[in-house]
Amino acid sequence: MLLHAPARLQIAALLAKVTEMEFAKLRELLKVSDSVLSKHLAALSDAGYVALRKAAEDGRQRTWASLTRAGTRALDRHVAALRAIVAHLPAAAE
Amino acid sequence: MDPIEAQAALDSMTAAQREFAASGPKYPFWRHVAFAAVMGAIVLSQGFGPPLQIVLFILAMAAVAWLVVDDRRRYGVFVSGYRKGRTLGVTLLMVVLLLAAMGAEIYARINDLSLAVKLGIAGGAFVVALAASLLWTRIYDRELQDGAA
Repeated sequence: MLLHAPARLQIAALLAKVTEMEFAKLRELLKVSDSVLSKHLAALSDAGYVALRKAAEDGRQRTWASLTRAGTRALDRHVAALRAIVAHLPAAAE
Repeated sequence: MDPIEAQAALDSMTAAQREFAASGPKYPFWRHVAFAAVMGAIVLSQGFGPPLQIVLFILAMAAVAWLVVDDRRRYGVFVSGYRKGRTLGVTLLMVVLLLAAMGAEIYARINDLSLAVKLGIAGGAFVVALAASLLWTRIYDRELQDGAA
């Protein structure tokens, strides 16, 4: 159910293509506010789908996000289910 | 969820990845050359005994770390070359060829072959790594454009 939200699906899809992405880059790509992105990342992190790491760079605290193995599996399952629905196959999205 | 909603979800995912392809890392040519030079240095280090071997290897590892830090700072993203996906074949082929080059350097060291031979092997490794880096990036960009999950 967690990946039903379009923004969460987009976050997972973006993180699936990289090793790590910075919070500001995610926000820029998704065109959402800091607070909205923080809420989505917190939900994905609580579910164990996303790992968050804070690091000091150039005197500023930055947050880096990466997709966990559980997150990768959930995304794969969700995308397969979506494709099955699109193909009118009897499968339900996660 | 009906098929229209499912298609919309897939489309939104693809759109996000295409947006990333459009605004994501655009590695300049020097970045590919720097990576290839590091790989060449690692290969060349095997052609010498200590301390030169150790010094070259440490310098190459420091350069790798610098490239990773620079990628993160410049693009807000880091993509490991060893990621799964369409690029993995290029990575594995490059690793096999570079390992073969390292074996050749070790052979050259053991048999006391000339410096020209060792530099030639490292030069070959540089060319292999440069070609692999350029090809890897092209395949990665295409993967993002296609929006494959």
